[in-house]
Amino acid sequence: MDAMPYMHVNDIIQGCLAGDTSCQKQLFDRLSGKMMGVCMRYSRDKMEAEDLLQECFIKVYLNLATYKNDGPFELWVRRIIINTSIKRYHKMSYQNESPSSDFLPERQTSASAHDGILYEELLGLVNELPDGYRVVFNLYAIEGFSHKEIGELLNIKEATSRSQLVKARMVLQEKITKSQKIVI
Amino acid sequence: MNQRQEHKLDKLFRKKLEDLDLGRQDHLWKGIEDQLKKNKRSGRLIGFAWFTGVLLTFAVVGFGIAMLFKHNSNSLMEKNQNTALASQRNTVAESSTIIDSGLNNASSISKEQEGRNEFTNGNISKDALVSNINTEGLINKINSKNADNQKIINKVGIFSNTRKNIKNRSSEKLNSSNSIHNEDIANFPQSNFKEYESNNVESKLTQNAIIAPQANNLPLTSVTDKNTLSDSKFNNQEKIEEFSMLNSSREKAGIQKMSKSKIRLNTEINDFCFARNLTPLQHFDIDIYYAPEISNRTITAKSESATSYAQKRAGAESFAGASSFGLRLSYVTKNGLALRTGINYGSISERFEYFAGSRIETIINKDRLGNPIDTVYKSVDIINERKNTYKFLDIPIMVGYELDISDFVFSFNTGIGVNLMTKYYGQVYSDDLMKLIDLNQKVNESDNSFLFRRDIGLSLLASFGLNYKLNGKFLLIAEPNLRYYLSPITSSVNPIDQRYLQLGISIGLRYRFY
Repeated sequence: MDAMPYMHVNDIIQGCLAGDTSCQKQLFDRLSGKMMGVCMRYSRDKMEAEDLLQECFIKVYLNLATYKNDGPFELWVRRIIINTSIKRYHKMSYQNESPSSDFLPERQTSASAHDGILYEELLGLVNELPDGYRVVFNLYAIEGFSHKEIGELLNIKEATSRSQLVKARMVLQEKITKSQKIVI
Repeated sequence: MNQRQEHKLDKLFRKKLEDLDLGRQDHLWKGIEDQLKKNKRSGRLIGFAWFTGVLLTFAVVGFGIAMLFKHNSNSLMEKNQNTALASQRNTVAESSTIIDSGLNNASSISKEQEGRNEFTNGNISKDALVSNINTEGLINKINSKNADNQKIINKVGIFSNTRKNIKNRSSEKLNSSNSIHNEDIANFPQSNFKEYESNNVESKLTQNAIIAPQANNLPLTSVTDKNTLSDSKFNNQEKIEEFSMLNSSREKAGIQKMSKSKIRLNTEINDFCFARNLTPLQHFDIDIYYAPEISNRTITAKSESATSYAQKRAGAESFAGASSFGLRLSYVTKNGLALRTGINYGSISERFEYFAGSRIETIINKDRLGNPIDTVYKSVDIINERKNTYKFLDIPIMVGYELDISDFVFSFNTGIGVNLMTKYYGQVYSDDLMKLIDLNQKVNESDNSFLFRRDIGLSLLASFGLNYKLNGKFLLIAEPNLRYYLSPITSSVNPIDQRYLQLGISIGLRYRFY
């Protein structure tokens, strides 16, 4: 696959629309790494993230004709992942059970208080958040949505979104502090 | 994104995770590729199913149209034939009337002649001249009558031809009619023909063998009168005998007329038999049917706060199956207006997937020698599934229009369904999403109110019937139908409205009482 000539994303999209499997594979290769990062943030573990990624890429291929080229393609795919995650959140009645530990990153030594924390560690902390907190934190802190937008997306009140964000931050802060104490 | 002051923690996470690239996930491609292939295949299957459905619909409609055209052309031919037969029958009836009138004329002439003979026998000497004058007058009258009778003979010729036409038509259609007809002809005494021949009857009469009894009576009376009067004016005894014979012929002619009526009746019966595919429009039917259905559920939140609950319910429950069966009575008037009622029992099944907790799976990794080297604990969600059932008992009241075309009966029906009873079996999420509640759960034990209504009122019904006549009494029913419940099945205390639209195809049998 590496031997394949570099193609512009629009050409890849056209190839995918024509049903070209090699173009589909190329699109996946190009985006899967970044999109897996997004999926990991919205999931509780790697397995769930992989499942989400597969589901989203299938949606991407099946709905590619609806992409109007009015924005970066990567953003369009990212938005599909976010919407699918929200849908999953609505569908599954998760309880605040303790998360699995199979994807918890190894605790590594940090150089400084915050900046030295590796992404794996932060990702692990996000995964450990309860579902509601995690989704709100992701949407607000990383995606940049407002509480009003989050309220509309999740069908919750704006105040609920605010309180969940605050609680998420508290949990994260506490865990970071705890983690650094252990390391230090 | 709004302008806002970014939290220190948010900034940290965004910086580290926003553009996080975890590298190519090649091991996931196989699963995606397989799923895409599967979708492509199912897409083809759906496309094939649609194509087949459309093709079948066109085939059925095309067949119906073809049958309609065939039926119309047959009807037109049949109508033309019936018109021709009717006009011929009128001609026959007219001819019969004329013949009867001719016979009456002949009879009156004969009576006059008989009276004259009696008169001349009794008063030869005294009133001979008067008698002769009278006789001459009578002869003139008879000549005049003969002229009339000649016209009758001509008409009899038409009558004969008409009868031949009827006979030919009848021979094509009605063997029974022919047998009656031939039998009548055969029964007619041949002596009459010989007698008429001996009286120099014109061959025209004897050629018209079918109506010979009637035809012979008329002209022969006149002609014979003419001949005998010219040869021997006073051969009364001979005339009396001849009149007796003529009366006998009239009697035979009467029998022949009866036979003719029989033939006419038989022709009509067989005309009806030819239209056996056309069932009488006014009829009374009973249907028994079973309808596999597709149910479309709509869940809407009554308030903003219930939106989440509505979405949760909509996501956790999915259609599993629906069907209905019932009995239906129909009365169809002569102009095709149909009134239908009966009883319908419907059932909708839904699959409810709910989170029933989680369990910890312990995975022990071992080395080649079987010694445990690692233990992994994994949390696995337990998703249970159960089936919810909604059952409805309705009385449909419908009006429609029925179109009887050849072997098919098409009908368009619309009306309302009156719900008698609704029952529920199963569980759903409670409005706080924290537990499961029974569909039959009461809101308060004190009052008798339920979360789901026991009587959901009216429903709108519509159907298009495509029925095939198996025989004179039974029809095969294939009737796509639609039912929409106007009221939600949820009660006023339920935070959501839950409504159903059902599409199905009724398949069954129709028995036609009359």
